[in-house]
Amino acid sequence: MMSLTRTNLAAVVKKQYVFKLKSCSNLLISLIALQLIAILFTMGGMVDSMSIGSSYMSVTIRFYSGDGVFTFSLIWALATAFILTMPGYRNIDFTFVGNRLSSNLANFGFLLTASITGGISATLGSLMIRNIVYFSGGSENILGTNFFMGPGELLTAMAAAALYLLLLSAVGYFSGTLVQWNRILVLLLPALVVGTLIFEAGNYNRRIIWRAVDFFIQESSLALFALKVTATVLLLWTGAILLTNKTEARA
Amino acid sequence: MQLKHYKYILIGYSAILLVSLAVFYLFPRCVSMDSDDIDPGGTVEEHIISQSIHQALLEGKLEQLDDIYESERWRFDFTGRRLEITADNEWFDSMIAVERTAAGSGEIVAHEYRTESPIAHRLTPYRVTLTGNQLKLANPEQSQIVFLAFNKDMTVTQFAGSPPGEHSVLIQQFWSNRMLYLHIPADVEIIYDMHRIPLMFVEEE
Amino acid sequence: MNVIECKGLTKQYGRIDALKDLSFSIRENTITGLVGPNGAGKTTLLKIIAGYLKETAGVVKVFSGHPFNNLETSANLVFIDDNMAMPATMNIEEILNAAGSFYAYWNRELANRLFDYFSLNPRQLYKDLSKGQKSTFNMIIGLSARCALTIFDEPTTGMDASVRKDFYRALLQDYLQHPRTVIFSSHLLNEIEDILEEVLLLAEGRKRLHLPVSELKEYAVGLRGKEEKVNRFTRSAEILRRERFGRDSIYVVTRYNFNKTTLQKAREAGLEVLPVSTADLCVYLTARNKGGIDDVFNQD
Repeated sequence: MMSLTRTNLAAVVKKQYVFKLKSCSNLLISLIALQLIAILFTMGGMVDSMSIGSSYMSVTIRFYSGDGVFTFSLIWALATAFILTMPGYRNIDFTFVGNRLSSNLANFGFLLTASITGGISATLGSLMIRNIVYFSGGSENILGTNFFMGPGELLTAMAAAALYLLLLSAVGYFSGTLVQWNRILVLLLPALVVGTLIFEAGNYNRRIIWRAVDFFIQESSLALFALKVTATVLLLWTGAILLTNKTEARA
Repeated sequence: MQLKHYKYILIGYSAILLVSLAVFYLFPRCVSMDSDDIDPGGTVEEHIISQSIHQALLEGKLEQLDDIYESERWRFDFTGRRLEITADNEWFDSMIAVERTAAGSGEIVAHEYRTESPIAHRLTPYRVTLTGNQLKLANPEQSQIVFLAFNKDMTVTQFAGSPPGEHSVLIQQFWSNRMLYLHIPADVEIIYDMHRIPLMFVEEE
Repeated sequence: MNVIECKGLTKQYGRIDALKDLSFSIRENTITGLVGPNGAGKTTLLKIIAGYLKETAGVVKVFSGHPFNNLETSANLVFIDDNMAMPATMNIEEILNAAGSFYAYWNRELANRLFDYFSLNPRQLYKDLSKGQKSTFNMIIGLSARCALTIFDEPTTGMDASVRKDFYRALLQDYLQHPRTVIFSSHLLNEIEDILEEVLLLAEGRKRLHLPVSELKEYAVGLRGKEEKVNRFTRSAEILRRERFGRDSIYVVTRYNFNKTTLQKAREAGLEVLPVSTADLCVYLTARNKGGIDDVFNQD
C-alpha cells in the first residue's frame, strides 16, 4: 500500500491557483479584448464634446479620458467572477485535488490577480489613449489641461481601479454563488434588484442601492476607500464560502 | 488557441502598455496650451460679448484695451471724394467702426482687431478690397477648430477632491471677438447700406 | 484495513432513493468491480466516496474519514469518468503536467510512455479529442496519479475493443507493481472480470452481493433440458432464471448448491450442466423477474 499523502489547504490552494491562471487565461484574454475595444471606441468618438460657434468660427473640444476602458474592465470583472462560479469552470476545480474551500480560495486568488492586472492595465490604457490622441491629433490641437498624469495620480488611479474591479468581482462572485446555490435566484435576483430600483425611484431617502453605490463613490480618501472595499469583499467572500460549503460538486 | 498563444497575447499587450507608459513619461511634449495659458476665470458673458469693447470702439480707444491686438492691416491709396462701402455677403457680420482722419491724407487704412484667445491667431482674416471707389468687405470663411482635451479619469477625480464629470476647460475661453476698424479721411463721403453694414462712427473728442 | 466503509448509506434526490441502506467495506489493495444495471446507483455511490456528493443518511468512511468536502480524501484519490471537466485553454500535454502537480506519487514517466503508446498528440486540445481519445487520456491520468484510491466510473466510453484490452492490461500491470485500491465501475463485466478480485453488485440502490470473483464464478449453475426433468432437479433450489426453449425444453439457472453426485445424475438424465458467466449472472441477479425480457411476451 502506498502511504497516504498528507496535505494542507495552502498547498492545494496554491496548486489550484497556478492551474487556474493557465486554465482561465482565456478570461484574461477577454479582458484585453474588452480594453482594446474600449480604446477603439474612445478613439472612434465615444467621448464627451462641446462646441461653440459663430459665422466665422466654430470651436469644438473633445474630451478624452480613460473612463471607457475602466468601465469596460468593471463589466468584465463582474461577468468573469460570475462565470467562474458556474459548473463549466467550477467543475474543473474538482477534476484533480481540491475541495470547495480550496476552489473558492483559488478563485479569490485569481480574481485578486485579475483585478490588480486589470486595474493597472486599464490605467495604462488611459495613457495609451493620451498617446494616441497626442500623436494622431497634432500637438497644436491638444489642450494640455489634464493631459499629464503625474506618477502619484497614476498610482492612485491604478489602486482605485484595482479596488473597484475587486469589489465588482466580489459582487459577481457572490451573485453567481447564490444562483448556483439555488437556481430560482436566476430570476429572483435580477427581479429583486430591478424591483428595488423601481420601488425606490420616487423616494430618495430609501434608495438602498444608490446609497450603497454612494458609500463607495463618495469616499474621497483612498485609504478609507480601500478599507471599505476590503471589508465588503471579505464579507462577500465569506458569504460565498458559506454558501458553497454544503453544495455538491460534479453533480 | 493554445496556451502559448494566450501567453503571446498577454506578453504583447503588456509590452504595448509598457511602451505607452514609457512614451508618456519620456517623450518630450509640446502641447499648444497648458492650463496656465488659459485664463481660467471669467463668465460666459465676459468672454463673448464685451460691453467694454463696444464702448472702446465707439470712443476710438481700442488700442488701450489689454486683450485686444491688431491682427491684420490693409492700406489703400484713395483720392476720391466718395467711398462706397459694400458687403460681399448678405451683410457684414462683425462690429465695424470708422474713425475719421485728417482730410486729404490720401489713404484708407483698415485694421482688423481680435480679442486675445487661444485660437485668435488661427482665424482667417476678413477680406477687404478696394476697387475704384468701392471698398468691399467680406466675412471670412468659418474657421473650424477642433481641440482635443482630456478629463481626469474618475479613478483620479474621486480622490483628488474635484467633483467628477466637470470639465476644467471652459469653451467660452476660446471665444474671440473680432472687429474691423477703418481710418477714412474726414473729407470723404461714405455711402453704405446701414442694414447690411452696421457701421459705427467713432465719436470725435 | 478497510479503505472504504459504508453503513446504512442512503442518498435521496428529492423523494427518490438513489442509494438505500447500503453497507459494505472495501479492503485496501483490491480491485473491485462495481456493477449493476443502469440507474443502480453506481455513479452516485462513487461520487459520495469521492466526496463530491453528500450522503443523506448513514455512515461513509474513506481512509477512516468522512469524504464529503474532505481535502485529505481528495488528495489521495483520483476519480476518472467520461465527463471530466478539462480547461479549453490547455493542450493535453499541459493538462497532464498540471495533473502531475496535484498528485504526490504522480509518475511522469508512465504517463509519457502511455502517451506514446496510445499515440496521443500532446499539442491537441482536450475538446478536440474523440470520445475514445478522451477516455484514453483520462485513463492515463487515472493510472499515472498512482493514488491510494483510484476510481474509474465507466472509463472506457468510446474506446476501441483493442484499446480497452490494453487499458485493462495496463491497469493490472501497474496495480501489481504498485498495489492500491481500485474501484472500477463498468457494464462490461465479462471484459474486466479477469482483473477484478471482488465484485460489488448494486440494483436499485441496494447491495445485491459483494463477493470475490472466484466465488461469483461458482455462484450459480445452469441446467438445460426437458422441462419436467429440469424441474425435478431444481425443485428445492433457489432459481435465478428460467428461460423456455422450444416446446418443452427449458434453461434454469440456480444457486450452485448441488453436490457432485447430484450434478452427475443430472448429466446422466440427459440434462446439460452449464457454467454461468459472471456477466450473465449479474444480469439475472438484478433482473426484476425471473424470465427476463421473455416475460414481457409470455403473459400466461
